[in-house]
Amino acid sequence: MKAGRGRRIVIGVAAFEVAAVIVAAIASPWVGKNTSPSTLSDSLAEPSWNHLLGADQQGRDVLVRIIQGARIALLAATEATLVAVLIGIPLGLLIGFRGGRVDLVAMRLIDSISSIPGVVLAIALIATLGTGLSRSMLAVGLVFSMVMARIARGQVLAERERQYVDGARVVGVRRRGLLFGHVLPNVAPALIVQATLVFSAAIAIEAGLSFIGLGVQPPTASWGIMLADAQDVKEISPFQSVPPGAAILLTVLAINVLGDFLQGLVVGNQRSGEGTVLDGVRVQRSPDAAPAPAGASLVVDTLDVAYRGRNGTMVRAVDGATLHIGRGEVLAIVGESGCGKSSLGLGIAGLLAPPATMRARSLRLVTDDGEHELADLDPRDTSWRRHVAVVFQEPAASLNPVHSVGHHLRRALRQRGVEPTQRAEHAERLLRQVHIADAPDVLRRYPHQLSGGMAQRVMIALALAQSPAVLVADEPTTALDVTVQAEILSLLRQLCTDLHLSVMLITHDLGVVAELADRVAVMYAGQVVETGSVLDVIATPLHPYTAALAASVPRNEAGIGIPEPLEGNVPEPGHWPAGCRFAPRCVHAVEACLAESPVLAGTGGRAFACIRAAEINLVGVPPRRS
Amino acid sequence: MTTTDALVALRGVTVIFRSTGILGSRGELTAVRDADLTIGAGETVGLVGESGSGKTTLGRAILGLVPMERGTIHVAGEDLATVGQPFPARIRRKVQAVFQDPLQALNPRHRVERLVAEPLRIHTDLRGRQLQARVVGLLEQVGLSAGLLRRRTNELSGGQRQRVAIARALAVDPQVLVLDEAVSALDVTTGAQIIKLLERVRPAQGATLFISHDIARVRSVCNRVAVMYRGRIVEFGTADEICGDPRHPYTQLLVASVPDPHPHRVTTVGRASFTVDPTARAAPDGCPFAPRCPHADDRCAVFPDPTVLGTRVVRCHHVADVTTHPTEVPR
Repeated sequence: MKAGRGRRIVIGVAAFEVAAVIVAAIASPWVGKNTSPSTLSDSLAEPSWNHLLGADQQGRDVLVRIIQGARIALLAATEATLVAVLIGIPLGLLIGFRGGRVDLVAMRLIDSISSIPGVVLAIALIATLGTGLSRSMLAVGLVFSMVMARIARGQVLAERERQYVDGARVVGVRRRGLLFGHVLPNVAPALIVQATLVFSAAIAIEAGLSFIGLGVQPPTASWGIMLADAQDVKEISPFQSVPPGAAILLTVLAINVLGDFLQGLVVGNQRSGEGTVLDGVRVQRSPDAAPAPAGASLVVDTLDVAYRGRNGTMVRAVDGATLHIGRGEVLAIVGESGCGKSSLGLGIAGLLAPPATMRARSLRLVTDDGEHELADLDPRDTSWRRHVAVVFQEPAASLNPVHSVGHHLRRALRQRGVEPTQRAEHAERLLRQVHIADAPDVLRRYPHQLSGGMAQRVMIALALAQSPAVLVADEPTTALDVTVQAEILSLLRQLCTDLHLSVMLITHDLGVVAELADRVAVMYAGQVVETGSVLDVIATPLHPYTAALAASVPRNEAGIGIPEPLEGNVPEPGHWPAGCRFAPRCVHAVEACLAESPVLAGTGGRAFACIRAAEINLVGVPPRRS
Repeated sequence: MTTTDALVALRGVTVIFRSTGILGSRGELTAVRDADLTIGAGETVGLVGESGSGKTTLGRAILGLVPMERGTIHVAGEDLATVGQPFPARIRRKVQAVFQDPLQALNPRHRVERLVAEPLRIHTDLRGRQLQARVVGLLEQVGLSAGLLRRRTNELSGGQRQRVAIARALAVDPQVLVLDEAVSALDVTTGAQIIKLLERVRPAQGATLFISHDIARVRSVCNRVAVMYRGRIVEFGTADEICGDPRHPYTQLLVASVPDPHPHRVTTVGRASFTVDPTARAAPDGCPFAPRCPHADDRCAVFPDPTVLGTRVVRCHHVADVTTHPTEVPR
């Protein structure tokens, strides 16, 4: 977990405070024994060397009383927390795990008890149980046990649905084993965090109850009683209320800070930075960029993307990618996961999250109104996103659940500067463009009311709202059913033709590639290893990696049997081998492959990076026999 | 194949999900309806369909993870309905599963050693050194080194995780293996590795149910294939019959939608697809595919009885008039 320097200091101070209170509580029986018995002559003494924090009305040393109060506070909070944990957690686990009607009835009961403010309920319980520290804390603990039960139950309900519970049942684990061996260890961290919050609240409540005379009885020292005593003499000695007040405030605050810190450790840092604006992404351009190929709409020249690795060094995920996409053309980027496909797509879309960095000799768009060098733009410039739109794999996750489809589209149109009066009509036109028949109805719907295919159509409409020149489609159909996939692919194909949209299609599915792409770039370990027309690359590959991918794909044909797998894994960024990166997995590799890095080269739009291409005979995907 | 010599036999299996309120049932969803299915010894049967078709629920019914409303499931001669829930250990060890996402299906807090040892602890007397040796043996069998014993699943690659899940499933020598989208979340290369591994290690005389949405993959690994749509099995036959010569209009649509990896595009005109009227609803007891079906008529308000065509069973009133459909729709 990343914590800022200021935050680390706060956590350190809080830990120190809590440690001091614990030490004080343990040491309190021996504190004050050696000091002189209280004398009324010291009554309300100002802080001095004799009494560091002064003395109270009866001449007792305030510091000693604070230290003795710490013991009471911790004892009280421990008791209340133990009661809350021992009653609340088993109760919550039980009703959460049983579920069904038991859960319904128990939860309504717990809800109604929880709806009464805790202190009021504690006072009512004290009225029946009687006053005194342990009784009042039993009451407080009972109140908090309802909170614990509710949280434990919620955690278990969520955890029970996790598939590993089914997995354990299939293996034969019984109910008790499921609850204590599987579910409890997974929910325990959240419950521990909650217990710290109960602990700090109990300290405050103990002080409050003692203050109004329902908790510890005088002459025992408690921070609440000290505060009550100070109240009586506030006209004469206002300082009296400061030490107990500060003790309560700081202790409660410190325990909350530590609880928060614990929670951070448990949950992990899920805050992913506001937006994915390119703060910290630096685009560097060198002046010797190559001229754009004729008809190209997007030109990418030697693009690198790097991320900060675990040890802080920058690790390259994309290494010198050079490619172009023609107007109205679909370029597919294929390769296994971990090859840099998505990083390349995010880089081109200007969506890399910091602290990623991107470097390119040139990254430029050629549109009707001239050339735009994106590498010259401020990464935060919204015009980047106007030129390059993105569609992701999970359409529903990319839509804000609280806004309707119409709201999403109108906001996108506003950003593009469309007049308010025309936005509604324009939004409807966009939906019709993605073949949504009942556009007015869909405009009113919310993301959860859309099927997967419909949501992906809406995402495409949103992308089109910016009239982009380039659309980056990252696994746009992977999450969809195959019949819906066919419809979306057909839609994308039509949009390319009608709108002259250039599409960068990122996918691992060669079927989708064959269906939609005009050209293909194959990536392995951050590098482009082969490019060419889709027919050339897939049917007659020149790089062994492309051939291995083609051989792994199952096909709907009789008598094909199980495809031969490519063994091994893609090396992780930062652990790329010297020489040809594919060589360790390549059946054609010779010693020379390990020595030199092959360069992507070729003619006529066909290029490959393999030194053995001329000597080996590679097989791609043959035409269908039927 | 008759019910008696099948290792797994489902007859009229119906699963209904109910959401309960304080005063009783509030709503219900029939996830699987009157499903008949058999898997013979040494056979792999594919179960295909789109999301919401009920194929996962049917697999879960065989695993005893969802209660059945009606119907019977026999596994190796035992009637699952009569053995009670949770299954006694002798049934449990006969039926094991591998799920789609091992990160979800394996307890994230447990290490590989514990994950693989868990079924052995429950079903065998192996303890201590012998237990550890068996765990290492299982890991080697699925191509993992003993060096991974102390890792948690989040420290493994996707392929390694699925290998752990397979080792765990194989630990008790099951007779029936349910593979629920076991390779769908993996890269095509890793998926091919896992399929190859499963071919090698799965019990040779056992029954395998291969649940998947990937027709091409199903054809390459299965002997027979059942097609589900909205809870109903609409067609069941050999893999070549179903994937190469589908007869139910839904199977035809499904097969025609599978993109082939060979680029053979002739025109850029979109492929034909059956139109979907979002307002159309299937009759409650009718054919669930009728609202999307080009052949639908009044007869489709009643779900048809099975028509047997050689080794295949089709449930469509129009099976006689539906022509043998090309697997490729003209584009």
